[in-house]
Amino acid sequence: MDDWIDLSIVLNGAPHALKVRPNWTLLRVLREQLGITSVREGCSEGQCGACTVLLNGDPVPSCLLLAGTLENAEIVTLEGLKKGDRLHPLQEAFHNFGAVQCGFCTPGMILSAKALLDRNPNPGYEDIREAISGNLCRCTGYLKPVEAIYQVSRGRTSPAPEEDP
Amino acid sequence: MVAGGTDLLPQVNRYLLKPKVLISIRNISELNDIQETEGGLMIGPLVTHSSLANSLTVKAKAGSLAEAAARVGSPLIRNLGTIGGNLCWASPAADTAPPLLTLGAAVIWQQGGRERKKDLADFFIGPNRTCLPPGALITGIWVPPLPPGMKTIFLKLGLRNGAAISVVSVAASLVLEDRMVRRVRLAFGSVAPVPFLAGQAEKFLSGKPLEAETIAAAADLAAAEASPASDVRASSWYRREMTRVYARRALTALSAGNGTI
Repeated sequence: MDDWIDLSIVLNGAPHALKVRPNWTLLRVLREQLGITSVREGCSEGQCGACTVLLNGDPVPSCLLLAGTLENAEIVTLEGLKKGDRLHPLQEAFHNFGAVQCGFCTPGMILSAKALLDRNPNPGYEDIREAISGNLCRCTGYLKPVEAIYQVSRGRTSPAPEEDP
Repeated sequence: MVAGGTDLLPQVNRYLLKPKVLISIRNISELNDIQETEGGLMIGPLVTHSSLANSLTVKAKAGSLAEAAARVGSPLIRNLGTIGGNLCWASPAADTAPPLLTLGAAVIWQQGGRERKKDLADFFIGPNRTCLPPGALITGIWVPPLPPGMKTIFLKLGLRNGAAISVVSVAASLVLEDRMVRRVRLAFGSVAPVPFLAGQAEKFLSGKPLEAETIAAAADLAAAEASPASDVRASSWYRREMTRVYARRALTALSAGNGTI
């Protein structure tokens, strides 16, 4: 484990050349080498989804990926979703529908939702629940994230005016 | 050797395993495809659970395997975890094992330039133990062509719907001829040290009509064949009772013509 591995990855569209230890996970490299703090260390065993990233488009737990095996991989984290100063519609909707409580699970949930919408632009509620079933929310606030994701798929990022209190 | 890492990395992250050397095989593309031949399906060991669950070929030729793959862990785990890893790790609760057992699958591996093939029924020797010799690399999981008219099914009981380890899983395959059982295979996960075929129940059903009484008697035999352990998820008693219930549900669904393929 004393060796260094040269690693090239594309993170949020930008190429990075890194040196990593053989036993380092992608989670560790993202947080400690690259300062990407939207990936969180929850359980370190793939159960909680707080460290979710998109690996070549698929949501995966970055705590289970050995960074050294990811040569030329394309990684997207929450930081990669916004366009300039504009938030991604999912980010806007999570905000406007009140789908965030403590926020620890939110980045992972949004990435799982993005992967779902990329694959299935018109999901039903059951598809959405299935897609985020690997992202645990310990505030147990699942209803509003599910609603926010559903509304984004129907082209809305905020509640209709008459629903405002 | 590490593929998806979904079983290994949790152990490494918690310092329960401290491997000196790990060889990652995840990028060997030749081991990551599903081939359909006249001789059956050849599934590469690096095919992920997501790929299995979504593959039209697997759905058409090994329906219960696609259903089982869709119930492994969470979507995140299914995107990483591989069928070869699921079998190698040899968890008693490995969800792909019961359907593969009922489909008559075999594991093919290479070691020192020699190829070996073994029926999956003889592959597991204990919890987290297989007959794979050190240094062996699985190169394929073979599923023979299914006989015409065969229906298959997979059912799983977890403590919740998503991201659950099985308390009991059952797979069955069935060919009926004039309402009589021509061929049946019934396998269980998580209720014995290894996933197993319930031979007594299968033998009992052979040649009989698949009706409520025969199904109930077969389910009793299957429950007697289980040797479940108690753990954090369920007691031994509960697992045995659920073996009976899930055997009955699987066979009843197949007798009604439900199930895939």
